[in-house]
Amino acid sequence: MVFAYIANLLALAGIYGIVGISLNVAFGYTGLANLGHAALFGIGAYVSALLALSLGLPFWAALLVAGLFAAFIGWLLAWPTARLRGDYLALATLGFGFIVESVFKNWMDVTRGPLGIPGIPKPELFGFVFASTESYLLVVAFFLAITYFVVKRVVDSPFGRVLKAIREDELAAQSLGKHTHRYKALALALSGFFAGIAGSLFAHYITFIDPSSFTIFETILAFSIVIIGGMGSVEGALIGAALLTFLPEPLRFIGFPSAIIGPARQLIYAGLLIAIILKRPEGIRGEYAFGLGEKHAKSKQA
Amino acid sequence: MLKVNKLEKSFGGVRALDSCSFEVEEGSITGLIGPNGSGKTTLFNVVSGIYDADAGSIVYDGEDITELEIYKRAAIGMGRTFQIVRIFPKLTVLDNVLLAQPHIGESFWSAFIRSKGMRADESRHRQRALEILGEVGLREKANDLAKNLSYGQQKLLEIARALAVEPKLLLLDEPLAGVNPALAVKIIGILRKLREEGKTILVIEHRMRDLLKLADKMIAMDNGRVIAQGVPIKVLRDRKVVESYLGEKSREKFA
Amino acid sequence: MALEQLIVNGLIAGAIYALMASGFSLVYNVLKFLHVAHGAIYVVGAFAGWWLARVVGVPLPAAIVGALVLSIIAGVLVDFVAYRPIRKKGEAALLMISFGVFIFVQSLVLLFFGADVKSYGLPIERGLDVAGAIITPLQISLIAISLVTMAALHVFLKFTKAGKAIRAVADDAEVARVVGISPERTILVTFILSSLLAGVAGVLVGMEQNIEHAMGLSAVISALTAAVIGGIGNVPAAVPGGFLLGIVENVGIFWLPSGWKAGISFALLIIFLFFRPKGLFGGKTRTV
Repeated sequence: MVFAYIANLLALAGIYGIVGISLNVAFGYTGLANLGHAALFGIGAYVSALLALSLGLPFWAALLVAGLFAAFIGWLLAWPTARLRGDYLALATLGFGFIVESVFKNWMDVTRGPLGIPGIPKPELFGFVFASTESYLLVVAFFLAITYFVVKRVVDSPFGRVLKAIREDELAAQSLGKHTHRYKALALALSGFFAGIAGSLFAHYITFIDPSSFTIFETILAFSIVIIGGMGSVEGALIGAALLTFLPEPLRFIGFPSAIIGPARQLIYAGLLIAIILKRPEGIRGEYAFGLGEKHAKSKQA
Repeated sequence: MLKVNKLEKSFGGVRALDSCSFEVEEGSITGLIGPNGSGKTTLFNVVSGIYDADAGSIVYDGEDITELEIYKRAAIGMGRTFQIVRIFPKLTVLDNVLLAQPHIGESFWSAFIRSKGMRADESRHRQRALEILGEVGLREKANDLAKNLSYGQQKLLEIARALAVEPKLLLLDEPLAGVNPALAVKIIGILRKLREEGKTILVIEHRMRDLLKLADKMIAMDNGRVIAQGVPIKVLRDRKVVESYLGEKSREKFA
Repeated sequence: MALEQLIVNGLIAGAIYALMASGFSLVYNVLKFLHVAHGAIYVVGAFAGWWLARVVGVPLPAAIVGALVLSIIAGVLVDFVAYRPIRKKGEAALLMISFGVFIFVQSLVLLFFGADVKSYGLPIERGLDVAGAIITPLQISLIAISLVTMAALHVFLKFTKAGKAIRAVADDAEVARVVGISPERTILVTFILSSLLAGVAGVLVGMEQNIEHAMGLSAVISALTAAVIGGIGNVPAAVPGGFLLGIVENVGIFWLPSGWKAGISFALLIIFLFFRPKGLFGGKTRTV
């Protein structure tokens, strides 16, 4: 009984861990503040759910296609935003996120709008259905491990080095011959791929999705995971996800009604986000704290 | 090596570059001088591609590169340093240099498939990067974060990066600014060696004495225009050049 | 719905957007970051007014004044606690902490006041017929108050010493310091002004419509869209930006199903960001 409860939290933490790692690729490593990240997560969820339900695709295939499609959208997002800096990029990605949310809410024929999509099937393998929480946890853990190793491999490679250079100073990177727009597109594609996979895992776990799970608040939650865990650290995203999933739970035991738990949760993660930025901006494991201030301060004299 | 023809660049209503034309010969060191605000850095920015020229042309090694994107100019051998150092602060010194080297298996897929050839490549590049750091005297600092270097060391790192690009043309924006005399001597030595190796250097500087000893040719700018070019001593003595530097003072006298 | 009515609705919405966008652009002008928590101040204003008038029982005019005072306190507090310590950390840090503050305040409002919709309980008015559209006296006053407030802001910024100080600090804080202006005091004034604007907007909306805890999100999105349309950082331009957004949004549903109303404003935001990032009148942007 208790184990099912913990397993549930672990599964969610694992899914959010993948979300955090995927955001880290774009934001922590490449410096792209994609305020529409929840949209990529949501696109993965919807694509996977729809493929499984209307085409009868097995979970594993639906997940893969969802990831690839979200990767494609991420890649597409990169090109018009390639020249945008700082606030403009934030605004454009914010707009993108809202437009996708609008599509989820209004494209009744496909997404059923606010009614959502129920009855999303669980994964199956050689006849075994991963119906219980504990068994689903294995599925999540499997994909979390893949995400971890793939992303780690990428960010520690020469390719990853270029991403970090773009984060530090895109213009200087261009002056050294890097086609930065292409790298940014690949970073957003990779970010989208794993966000899409996380979305698929989420959809097939909760078995019901609706637009309210893919809003700006989920994006900020993802950023909180990354910032609290430490930008530019894959382990940090895991720590952040675990922390934000488990921390609000004691409230349940103190006897708060569930109507309180929801907003209290948001209060906690917003409060933690504020506190970390104020006191320890590099996060728990970060190699990198917000450093844009220095560059802009210098350019005032230029 | 570099031929600039009637370059124009305006920002808002301000004419930063006004019909600039000059030539830089291969294997020479050319000094670019002028009072503050005369357009020298703007010129560098246009030549390196950070700004697009409003009019005019840039011919590099025989090719017209006026429309070429920034990152492609590095690929054809244009290296550049910045007036205010633009290193990558939270990366190591070694990474800073590695990033400057061309053709280094930085593609996305090579993160997954590291053939033996690629690994040999990477270690060769690493060797070369350490060599370059050795040339500027930063070898022991290879694993330090660039932001932890002193100002002078950061300037050297900028130069190391410009070298790693394996440039044919180097655009140096005030490489000697704010450095102590010993370091200045070192940097001048590096520049001389580069010239011996056949590289072309265009350098913005204010330290006239050092420039005189170093430069084969001098170009003087004022108000976005090239007002004189030629043998360094003659350019420095040119009346227009002298006036451009004293400009404010003489205007005050007549006001 | 008839076109005239939609235009009138657009003007009413636009009046609020203009107020919010002015305050938002003002902060951007001076501090160069997106003060998303502006939406939270708006919510504070709306709820403070409701609470004072309906729970505490203060007469409406006093409740309004109290709400404005509380909005100002909230805004100044946000700056002091969240922004001031990280002034130099760059726009990304400020943006993130601003989101954090926004969510924190919204959650507090939800916890304290619950999720149900609240009303200021003003008597229902008869609408007047103006050129074929119905508009209530309250709505007319709303538009008028909005315009007067922004005119006052404009006069303040252009002609008072504090206003000039704001423009100086917006240009270059270090230089302003050298000529004897205190940047921190000027920033304080900036937040007082922008919070006042948000508070006025919140109270006006509270009186004209119902309020609920999540109202801040759409308000701040409209604020930033209107600001981008006018030119981000350009305070006077926020006025036409706001009214334009209001009208396009409302008139837009003449042709499109009403569910897409929000989509219209997002589309406008994207169009401007990609094709005319400086907005209609040019904004104040960061260099580099």
